Parts: sequence; structure tokens; C-alpha cells
Amino acid sequence: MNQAYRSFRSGEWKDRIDVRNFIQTNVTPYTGGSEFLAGPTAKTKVVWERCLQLLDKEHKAGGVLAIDANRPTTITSHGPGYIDRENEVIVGLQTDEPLKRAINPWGGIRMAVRASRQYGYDVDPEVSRVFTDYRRTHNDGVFKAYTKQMKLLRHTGLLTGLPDAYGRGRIIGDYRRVALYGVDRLIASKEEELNGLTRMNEATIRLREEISDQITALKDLKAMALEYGFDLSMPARSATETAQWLYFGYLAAIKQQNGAAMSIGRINAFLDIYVERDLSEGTLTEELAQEIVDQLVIKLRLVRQLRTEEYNALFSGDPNWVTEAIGGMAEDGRTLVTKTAFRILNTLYNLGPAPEPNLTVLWSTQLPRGFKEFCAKVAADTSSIQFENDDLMRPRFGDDYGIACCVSAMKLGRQMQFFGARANLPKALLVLLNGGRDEREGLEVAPRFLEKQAGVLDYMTVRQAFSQMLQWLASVYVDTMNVIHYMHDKYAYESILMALHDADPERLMAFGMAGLSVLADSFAAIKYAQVTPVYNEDGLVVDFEVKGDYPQFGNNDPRVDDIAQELVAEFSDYLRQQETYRGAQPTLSILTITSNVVYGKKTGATPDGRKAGEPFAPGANPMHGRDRNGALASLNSVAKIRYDDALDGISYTFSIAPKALGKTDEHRAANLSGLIDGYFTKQGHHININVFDRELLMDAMEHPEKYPQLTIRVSGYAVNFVKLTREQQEEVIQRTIHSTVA
Amino acid sequence: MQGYVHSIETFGTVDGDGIRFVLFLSGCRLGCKFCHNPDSWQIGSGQAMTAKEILGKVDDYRPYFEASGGGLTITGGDPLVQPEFTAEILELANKAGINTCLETSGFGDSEAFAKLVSMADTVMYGLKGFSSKAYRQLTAHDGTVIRRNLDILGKLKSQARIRYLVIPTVTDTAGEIAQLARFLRPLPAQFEIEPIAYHTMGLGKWEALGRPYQLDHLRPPTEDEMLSFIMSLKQHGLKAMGTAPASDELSA
Repeated sequence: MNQAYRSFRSGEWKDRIDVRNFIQTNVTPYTGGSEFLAGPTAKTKVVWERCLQLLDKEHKAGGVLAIDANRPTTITSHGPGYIDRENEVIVGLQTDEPLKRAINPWGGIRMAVRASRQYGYDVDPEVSRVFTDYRRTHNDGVFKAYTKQMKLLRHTGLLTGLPDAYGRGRIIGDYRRVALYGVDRLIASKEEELNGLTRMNEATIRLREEISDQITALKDLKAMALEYGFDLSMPARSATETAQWLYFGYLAAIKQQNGAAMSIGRINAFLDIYVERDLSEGTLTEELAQEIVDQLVIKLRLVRQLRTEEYNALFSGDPNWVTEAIGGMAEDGRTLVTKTAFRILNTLYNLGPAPEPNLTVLWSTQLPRGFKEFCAKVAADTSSIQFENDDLMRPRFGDDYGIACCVSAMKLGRQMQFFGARANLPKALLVLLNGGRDEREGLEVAPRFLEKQAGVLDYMTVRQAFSQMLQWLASVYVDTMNVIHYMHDKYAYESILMALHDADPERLMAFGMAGLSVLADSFAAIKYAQVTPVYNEDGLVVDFEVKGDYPQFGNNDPRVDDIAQELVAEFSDYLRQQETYRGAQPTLSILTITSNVVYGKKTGATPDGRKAGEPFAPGANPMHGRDRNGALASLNSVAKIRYDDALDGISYTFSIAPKALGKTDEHRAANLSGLIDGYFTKQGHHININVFDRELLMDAMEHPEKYPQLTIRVSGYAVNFVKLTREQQEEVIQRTIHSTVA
Repeated sequence: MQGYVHSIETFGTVDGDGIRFVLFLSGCRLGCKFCHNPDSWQIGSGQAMTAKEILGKVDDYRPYFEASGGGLTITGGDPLVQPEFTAEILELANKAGINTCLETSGFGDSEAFAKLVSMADTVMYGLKGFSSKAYRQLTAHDGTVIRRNLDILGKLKSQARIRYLVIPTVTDTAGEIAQLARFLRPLPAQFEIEPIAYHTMGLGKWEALGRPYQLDHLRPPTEDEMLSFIMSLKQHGLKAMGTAPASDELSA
């Protein structure tokens, strides 16, 4: 009997790797309120104070504090680093100093060189030479296989944000396995998997090579932790060790991979089991339990990857999507809310608001009332958390799923995802109307599905031709993704992340759609108003004359909402008809991150009356100012998009002035909770909640020094407002902020 | 039947309990000189809709009502301008089991008023002072009808809320409060008074309509004035709601 498992209830988790079963057999659901919570300890305050100074320095230095441009990052590349060794309860940094970034050339050496140069560093020429002459990168691999067509799609921005030059991310290691089983047991289990793969074909050979790499990565993980003085061979024995063990697992992952989105998973109920045991054994107090959580969260707030300026323009504010999924319900009807779910949210008070970790509440109408109220209060106070519909996801992903990035659900350790960026669908419509030519440069990017239209556009004609366009786009989109993920597996394989998965997990391929509301409104305009294209001398459509009114998405008007819903369903169907790399299951998200600004910039005028270059609405949001019946009409429109057609998530960002939410703090929390319950009963999937006045943002734009921690939710993540580009700040300010009716 | 709708707010949080679908009907005859929605006065303006259509829309928000203890609030304009239409909406909402709140300034036919009051679950009654003097100063009428209907309300309902507009020197005087208290005391209903601070946000709309704003000499109450108003209500044995709302909140 392992001492680490003292007093735990036995179950199948002992015989095989099964964290879910461990949680189900040992969790202590909590149905009370937040009154038990403790403030930060002296140690936490010292460490966080030091971090605030460093963060300020980083901001003043233009966003990057320091770069180690000589040593490519690996799990063991950099020795121990500390913030304040004496006061750190959880240790481990990506390099030898906090906020110092390492280069990761496996994704692409040119990106590493360019990003370093943009911040005044030169990559060691020897490193450049190795990754140019001897070691192929993911980026090089992709471009060896890309067709001319794919390069054109990329160049014109019909497909954007493709993970062909940086880590694809979106894979969630089950870091809890490190703590529950210890690394030796995980290695043994991987060796068993390896021994079972004996019939040699391409798939098994590849898998054997991968699992061997996974075993190496697990050994590296142990070596990395040993440098900090911890032996991860055996399971964690206390709550502090559990937090430390799983953080080391995560640290190894972010050292090896610069994936865009690197979730931490769903650690709250798991960690709580250890906290409860220590509390009952008298080795821990509430203050110290909170200290563990606060200090773990501090570490997650310091995650840094080196990015280029172009990348930052797409995904603004230096996000890492260290997403933690909180709460939710178990399949047997018990809640998975524990006191540690509260403790994690409490970090937003103890340390102040922050965008990371990306705190994501798995909301069910069945959640305990005390937790609902606390979540609503935190959302209203901090604008730092997001809510996702557990009642919608649980039947499809079980009760031990995590969220990658913003809205992408996957079974922890049992499913992984090939991230597929997104297609710009309003642009696809413009390309259609231009006979296959890109509306900005006139490049021939797609087949001609529609002849030049003279006079007023006919809805049926355009809509039917658009179906052909969508079908074609789906096929080239999937092909492009197949190339990217083949090469990523080959040249930038995430061995530590995959070591924390089952041998051959289910694979999802997550496609994306940008500009849904622009597209739906454009079709509604063509159908219900009179839309005439305006051509330039080259015969390209440069604008549209729109005569008459048309129904707009966001007003709970079925005439346009149905168009939106059908377009999503149709595109999703076409994606599902394609053959995917490694038999991945295609899914679709309606999510833009902050790229809605860049997409808009690269897209000509659209038939809905949007001018060339104007931003799209984020995610599945209605266009700014077009939702005129209040917040719920807008929510009900978005809720009509079926989750089964967009299984990778449907993002909605909601902003409201505090006074419009209710008269007192209590009313505000109750109304917010009612709003989420109502939206999720209507089958809505995700909602970001911002509670602030426009004036506050305007003041923060003029006086950023006054608002170092001002956090707002954008599409699927949170961001420090002052870290957004001016353009993005203006876009956020222009968004609909629901206020009282005057 | 068909009626006229000025606008819809699907996420009302300050006009009754919980989350409310707020239906603003067109038309108002009271002529408040401070009104911040003078564009809603015109009778027969706005979008023509049937009561059935409206209920169809309202029903789409039921989950939000159920989660928050909310429902439908009918306001305006003033619903008393379209009493039959309002009655039909209330009837349909009652049948559908949706909580209803009627918000009115009480300027309309008393028989119709009594009918609507008895149909609505709750009533919010917007007073712009109490005396004829105050009403003459602030509106196009002297308040006789409004006091008569207040009496009806007090007899029909066991509970009702008064939203009382606080304008320094006009509606917050000792005289106004004393008269109001004397009037309410014999009535069977339990009245709860919500003080609403006067604000000048309507000014822009008057300018836009090219009409002179006649209340330039009046100013919003300070926080202290709101508090002392609440104190005097309490001294007269009236039930006042919480702290003073901020000055830019909705007044009805």
C-alpha cells in the first residue's frame, strides 16, 4: 500500500491510469458559500509584489523583458529559476529568470529569428545553422508540401492564423496523472503500450516512435524536477506536492511547446481531494490551502512564449490560454464543485484581476446556488472569467473534459485536437461575387462559381453559388490542415503532452469560421433589401449599394437567425465529408480571438453595409450596434446556432454597464446568474462577461498607468486592456455595451 | 387586437423583480416637461403589433424569467393610452403563467385603470410630486386624475410600489411629503416608495426635437438631498426603498 494513497477510497484508478475514476471515488462536493475563503498569506504577498514589479518592467520594455536567444528551449534546457526562493511555495520557471523568454525553433527558425530581432536580440548563428542546414522545422516541412493553391489561400487571408510556423497548441496534457501516479508508473504504462504494438504498418511504426519519444519526455520531466530538488518518480503525498507535481508536468509542456493555447486542464476537484485530506489530518489550514492555490496561479500568470509582432496583432495581449475548467457536474448528478473551485476564483481577489489563467466556469443550471452566486459576483467584480454550458458538453464529452483555448472541449487524456485556425467567410462571399478573384488584389484564388452579377443581387442565385463555394473551401481547408498536422507531428511532436494521454487517443480536427454575423447579415440584406454591387475599372466589387431595411442578426429574428444557423450547419457538413489526417473527427468553432480586427482589415466592403477594413464582430457576436432589442434578444439569436454543428465551441462576448445589471451588488449577481441560466437553458454554449462602463475604458486608454491590472474578456479569453493595440482598444470600446434604457 | 410598440428591452433589470422583458408602448398624454423620451408620446406611432405577437416574443425569454424570478413589464409611453391592448397582453401573459408588472404614471381613464391594475401581478406607479401645484409645474395637467387613480390602486391592491421623482424644491418639500403621507395612510395597500432622482439626460432629446426645455432652472438632487428625502418619508411612516439611486438612473 502506497503511503501517498493513505485514506483514499480504492477504485479502478489503482489498477489503470484513470484520473476520472479517482476523482469520482474521492471528491468532496461543496454546496455552501464563499464565507470560508482566506486572504493571501505574507509569503504570497511578497512573491506577487515582486511579480508586479517585473510585470511593470516588462510592459515598459515594450512587452518583452528578456530573451535567451542562444539556447533553444527543451524540457531540460534551462536550469532552475526563481522569483523569490524563500517565499515561493510552488517553484519552477521556463528559463533561469522570471519572464525571460526562450526561443523555440522547432516550429520555425525564421520566426524565432524574426521575433528575437524585433525585440533587439540576435539568435546564436550556430543555432540558426543547425535548424537551417541539419534539422528541418515544422514550418519548412509544411512549405515543402503546400500547394500553390494553399499558399494563395493563406496569402489572401481566406484562411488565416494557420499554425504552420508556431506550435499548434490546443492539446491538454493530463497533468494530474503526474501527481496521482508518479512518473515511474506512467513510464511503465507507456512501455506496456509500446510492447503491445507489434504488427508493423505505417500507423504502428509512427505510434511506436511517438511513444518512445513520450517515454524520453517523461524521463526529462523527472530530470527537470530533480534540478529543483524534487523527485517525481513516486506519487505526490500532500496537497503542496500535488500542486507542485502537476505544475512540473505543465512546465515541461510549455518548455517543449510554444503552442498558442496551452490549457492546464481541470485541476480544481482533483487538487481539492488532497487539500481535504491534509486539512483533516491537521497538516494544512485554510490559509495555507489558499496559499498553494495562489502561488500555483502566480506561476500560471507568468507563462511566456516568444512571439512575432504579426502574431501579437492576431492574438493580442500576449495570451497563452492557460485555461482551467472549474466546477461542473458529475454524470451521477453530484456536483464537482469543491472548495478549491472557490479558492481558484478567489485568486482574482487575493492577487487582483488578471487574464491568466483563463478561468472557465463549467456552468450547469444544477450547480449549487452558493457557487453560482459567487461566480456571478466574481464576474461582475473582475470581468475576468468565462462561462461554458456543462449541460451541453457533459452528454458529449463526459464529466472529465477540459477546455482547450477558449471553447474547445475534450476528454482529458483521452482526446486531443488538431487546431485548425479559421476561414474568413465574408471574404469567401466576396471572392464568389468576384468570380473567384480576391476582392483586394484581384488574385485568382478560387474557381468561378458565379458569373459577374449586373444590377440587384438575387438571393437564390448567390446563395446556391455560395454553397458550391463553401463545399470547395471545406475541401481545400481540410487538405491544408492535413498538411500542417502531418508536419507538426513529424517535426514538432508534443512528446510530453502526448505522454500524458492514452496511447492512441481520439483526435479532433478543429476548424473555425470568422465573420458569421457579417455573413448572415449580408445574406439577409441580399434577401430582404436591394443590394447592388459597385465595380471598379478592373471589374472588382469595391462596395455595395444597399436600399431598404433588412433583419439583422442579434434581434432574435428568425428571418436572419435561421440564415446564420443554416450556414454553420452547411459548412460543418462539408467539413465532415472530407478525409482527415489520422482519421480525426472534424469539428467547427465560431470564434475569432481578437483576430476579428485583422480579418476585418483584410476584407473589402460587404453586402450588409459594412465598409472595407471595418472589424468583424468577435466570435458569434452580432455586429456592433445592430442588436437593438437588448441583451437577451442577442443571446437568443446566438443560441440558435446548434452546438452539434459547431462542436468546437460558439463564443459570445457580453458587455454591460454595472447600472444596467441591477441596483445593488446582490441584484447584479442574481441577474447575472439568471442570465447565464437562461442562456444555457436556451442551449447557448459560451459567454464572456464584462461589467464596466465605456468611460472606464476610455480613461484607461488615455491613462494606462492607472490601470495595470484592468482585465476584460474578449473572444474566449481575457486580456490586460492596456496591452491591446490602440486599434483593438477602440474596437472594444465601440462594441455594444448594454446600458440602461434612457 | 393590434397596438403600437415604441421599443423592446429584453434584459430589463431595474423595472421590477428579476430579469424583465420590458415592453415600451407608444403614446403618453401627461406631457412631463422633463421627459427623456418625448419621442414616445405620439399616439399611434411606433411598430404595430398584435398582443399575440408580443406574447410570442415574450415567451422566448421564459427560461430567463424562471431563473431570476422575472417576467414582463409593460410601460411606455404610458400603457393607459392603449388600455384594451394592454389588457389583452396582460390576459395572455396571465394565461401563460408569466409574471406581469404594470408601470404607469396613472394618467388615464379610471375604469380602464382599475381593470389593468387588477390584472397585473404588480404595479409601479410613477408620481411626479403629489400636489396640483407640483403637477402643474412639471406636466401639462394638475394631477387630479392621478390622485384619483392612486386611490383606486390603494384599494385594489394589497401592495404597490410608487416611483417618486425627487426634484429639489419642487417635489421634495415638507408639504408634498405630508400631503402624500396623509393620502396614503387610510388606504389598505402597503405602499413602498422608490425615490427616483431627477436628471437632465432628456435635455438632448428636446433639443433634437427642436422644442424648448422648460425646466432649465431645476437641478438634480444631491446624494444628501436624496437621503434626507428618504428620512422624511420614514418620519411620516412611509416605507422607503433602500439607499438613493444614482442620479442618472431611469425615471418613469
